[in-house]
Amino acid sequence: MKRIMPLLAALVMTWARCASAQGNGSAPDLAGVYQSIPNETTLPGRLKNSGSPREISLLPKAAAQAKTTNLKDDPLRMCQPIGPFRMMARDAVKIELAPATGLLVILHENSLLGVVRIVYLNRGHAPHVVDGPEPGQEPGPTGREKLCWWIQSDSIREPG
Amino acid sequence: MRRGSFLAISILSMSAYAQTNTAIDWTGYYMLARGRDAAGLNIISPNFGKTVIDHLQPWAKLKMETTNGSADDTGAVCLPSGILRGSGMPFSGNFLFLPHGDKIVMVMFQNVTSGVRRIYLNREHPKNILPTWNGDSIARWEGDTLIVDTIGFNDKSWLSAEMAPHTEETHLTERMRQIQHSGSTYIEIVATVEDRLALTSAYTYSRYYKKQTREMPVAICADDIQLWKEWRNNALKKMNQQAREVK
Repeated sequence: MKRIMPLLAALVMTWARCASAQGNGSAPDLAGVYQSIPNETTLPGRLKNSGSPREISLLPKAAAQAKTTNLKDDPLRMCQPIGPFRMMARDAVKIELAPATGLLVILHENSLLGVVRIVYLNRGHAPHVVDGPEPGQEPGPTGREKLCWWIQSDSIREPG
Repeated sequence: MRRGSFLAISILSMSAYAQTNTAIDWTGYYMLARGRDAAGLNIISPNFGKTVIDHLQPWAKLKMETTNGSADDTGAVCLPSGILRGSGMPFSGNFLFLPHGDKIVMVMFQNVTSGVRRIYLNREHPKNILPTWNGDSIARWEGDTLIVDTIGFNDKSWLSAEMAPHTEETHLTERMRQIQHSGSTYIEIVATVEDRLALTSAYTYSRYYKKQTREMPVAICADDIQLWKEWRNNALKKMNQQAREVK
């Protein structure tokens, strides 16, 4: 019991600190519109952009696939989503961070390319991927349902 | 003296009431209530399309009748369709409601076509508004009701799925209230649309949006490029055909 007491006390103190931090709302308020800085810019503290999509080294299978991809079908050319990896690495990308209770929503200035990212602050990853129309939804009046796909925001997975 | 104390207490109580109600966290994912979810709710103008058409000025009705519902429906080809026809559409009635500080962000489920609404609680409308698909929204609290005022729409969107047109004079007023009904939380929106150049008089409709216990999925209008190209080309073909007929 004597051994457990210090552990319990530490746990209680940690919990108290966490509860206090949450209660004080000490998490930074990230709300606002942000624009990425140019690559040649260095901020105080020697902070600057690093890394580039051009530096990505692909596995042979992926490299072969990249070579055979028709760039005319680049979704970027057709105002279609390009995914978070390319989107966040674009020059002068602008994002709006919209925090709310238990959520942080990332909105891109170009919503067609960037869609919406929803970051959940109150849970781990969902155990399943939803793929299909929402329960209770009726088919669209213009046949739009044929083109619509619903994906969970956390459905990006390594190929199995 | 007693009257003064009573008045002071009344004012304090009213102030506390207003604060309590505006302090309710409305954050959540809401879906347009239909069928069983909408039972017992006071839905004004359930036949949304008819309501809009009944209020159109002759030129607007004529334009609607000569508009090709498929070729001219921007939303049908994953282009913006605005928010004015939102509540009448099966897919556009869902949204994420994100209040934070002096701003409310409404992320529409069909964010490709209906986009994102930003409602500002701390400012007036700008003097020179650049017309946009979703206009400029400001709001204030009246007790437990959020009064949202939107102007600055462009004239590219439609008022309803029937392709009822509007002008840049469109003025949308929404009274939003959180209510409890059959054990669930709803946002009630009573909307009034005015347009002195396109409507004979204002029309009003109400819709209810039920708070969901699940999360809002991400909607992609078209993530199959080949299918989308085919669809877009078909739409363009129809538009060209229509243009030839008009000539």
